[in-house]
Amino acid sequence: MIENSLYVAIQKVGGDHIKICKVARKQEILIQKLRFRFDDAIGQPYGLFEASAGKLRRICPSALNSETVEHHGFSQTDKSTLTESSCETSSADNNRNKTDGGNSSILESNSRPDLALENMQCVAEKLVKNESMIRLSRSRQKVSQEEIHQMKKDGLPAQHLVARLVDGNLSFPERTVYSKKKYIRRKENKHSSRLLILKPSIRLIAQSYYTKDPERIANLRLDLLSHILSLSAVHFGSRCLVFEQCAGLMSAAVIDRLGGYGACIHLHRGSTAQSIPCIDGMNFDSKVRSTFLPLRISTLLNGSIVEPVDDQIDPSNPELPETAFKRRRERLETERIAWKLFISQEIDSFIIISKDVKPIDILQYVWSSLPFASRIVVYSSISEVIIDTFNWLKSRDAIEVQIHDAFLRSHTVLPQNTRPVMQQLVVSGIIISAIKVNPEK
Amino acid sequence: MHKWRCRIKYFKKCDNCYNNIYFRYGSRISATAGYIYALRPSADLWTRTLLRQTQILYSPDCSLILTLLDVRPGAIICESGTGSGSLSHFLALALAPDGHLYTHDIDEVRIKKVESELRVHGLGAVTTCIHRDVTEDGFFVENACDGVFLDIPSPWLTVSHAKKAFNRSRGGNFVSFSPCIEQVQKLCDALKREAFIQIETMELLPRKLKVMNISETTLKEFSLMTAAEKKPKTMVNSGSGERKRKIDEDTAEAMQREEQLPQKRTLLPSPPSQPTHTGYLTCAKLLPFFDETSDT
Repeated sequence: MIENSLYVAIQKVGGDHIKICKVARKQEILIQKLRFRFDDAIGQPYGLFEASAGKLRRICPSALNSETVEHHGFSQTDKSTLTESSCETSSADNNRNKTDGGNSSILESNSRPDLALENMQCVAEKLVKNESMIRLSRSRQKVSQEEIHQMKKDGLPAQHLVARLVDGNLSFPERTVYSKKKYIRRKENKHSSRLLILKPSIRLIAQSYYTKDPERIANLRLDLLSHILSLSAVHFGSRCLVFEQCAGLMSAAVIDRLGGYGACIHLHRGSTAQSIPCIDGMNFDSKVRSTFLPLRISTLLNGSIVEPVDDQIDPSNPELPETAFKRRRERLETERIAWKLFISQEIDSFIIISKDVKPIDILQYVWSSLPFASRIVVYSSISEVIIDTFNWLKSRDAIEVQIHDAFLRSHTVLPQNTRPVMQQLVVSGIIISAIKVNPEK
Repeated sequence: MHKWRCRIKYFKKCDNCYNNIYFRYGSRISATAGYIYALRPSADLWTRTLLRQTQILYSPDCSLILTLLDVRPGAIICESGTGSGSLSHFLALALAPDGHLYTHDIDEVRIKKVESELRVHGLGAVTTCIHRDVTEDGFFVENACDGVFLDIPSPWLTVSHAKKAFNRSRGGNFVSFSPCIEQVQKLCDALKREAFIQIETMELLPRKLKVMNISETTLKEFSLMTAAEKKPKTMVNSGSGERKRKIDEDTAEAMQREEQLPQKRTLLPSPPSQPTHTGYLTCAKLLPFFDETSDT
């Protein structure tokens, strides 16, 4: 159910960008040139919607199939037309004639009397011919840009718009069947007004950030994020310590796996945990969120919780300090729980997602508080960081020290067009995992 | 979950090996030849140690499948086929304690073995093992699942059954694992027909690496070196698995060399032969659907 002030994942049908944003009434959203407001979607189940004149209307997923059937019918009609005339069939299969279009005979008749002229005139003729070809190319589409804008403004459905573009394309009848399908698919994707509004999940959030700005999440790709969760054996009841520089994505994934049981201790700078939009985006309920235990780095460095002085009361604002006091007390109470788990050696696993902080430096502060058989997983995009971490872990007699990386690629699966996607984001990182053991007998 | 999670300060009694001997996870225990470490069990360690009845899915693929299915405590997942139970352990651990895994297999002997293993591992309460051919008879439950996973030869024949298994008001995630691209083509056609969305096919190629010391030499030094002298200066392997004696020698050598010039290290794939294909992962999403109110 799409609710006001909760987060949703939005993806345009045919597009590859996923946007995570908060639902708010009267707020206008723009995704890949598609503009709309959330108002009509609030209260509806997650699903497929169509944007028309800025408003949303829910449609059935099988509508995507009916569109496919329509184009299949169109393709059949096209085939029957081709079989009627062998000449047209021949021209459709031969794309070299495509540029000349219907005006080729005129060009030929024009050029025939000039054959006897001198070289200068021949050069001039070639220039004229090139210009006319350029003019032909520009005038291949009868529908103008202004007309397209007007049709969109009037709220014409996307499939009708695509049909108009197909009718208006002079060279369309001469294309191969494959080329026709490709043209239709591209126009559909470009002018589509359909979008998916989905419940956010770790997968959608990870893909959204990785596609938009991979460096912000330390180039952490979905498959490596998944592998880190498995190598650290995070499941319900686990107590996991996380240091991350990836916008809260790793902590969000851990909290999701805990499901309200266990603890995710999140090391952070400053007084409060900030810059964690991935955690906010997951809409965790209070039970699941209760496993999120922020722990200040300053507490770790000091070796104890430093409680701030409480004598900063401002008499001009009597209410504000009280709210601030309450929040601060709650924060300190949460940190006390986290700190107690830490110093009691009750951490099951320790995950580091490093962008520019040295993992060795973090491990030195934490190592003595990790119990035996606890798991350590470190991720970095920089191989030297992993090599240094490897040597450090080996020097402390950790076992099962393994280094992993991976290559992930997407495939296009379509009739007569099944192949890997030819260009995609490949930036990622390297994982090192280890288990701490008792070196003494 | 008794064997998987011991809450008494990680102490555990191991009846099978050492009668009345208590040891702590992570302890080093002397054995007849050297020593061993006792580790806390987990799904990925189980994957590496289980006796195989079939080709199994390994940790990187299993990990990605869990994320693609959005598995979390409370999720209800249907799986087919069970195989050796490698992925079943990943799924059961991830959805416990409130969720449930329904795993189906066509081989009765296999399904019984995995069932007993799951029970011994303390996951019997969250798993149900069913001897069934899902391509013909469908899944054990209907209108219930948050996710369906298939690792069978003909997944396209099961898509309509999978759709029935999903919870209609919530929809869910579908993932299939197929070695051959022709299987993927048929499956994608079937998914489109059944109005699944976000149909994606991907291939995951994990790789293991190890740290190597680099020993460089100039051409002049090389030409002055005899064949006998060459041996001690070859690349030193500092990966895990080395004998302790050799590690000490390597350390001494490394320290000696560090006095001369700074030590360089790099990452190399190890072992030299690694998988270049496991299978294609096809994932799709089913939106909430209500058959009674079709507003096409």
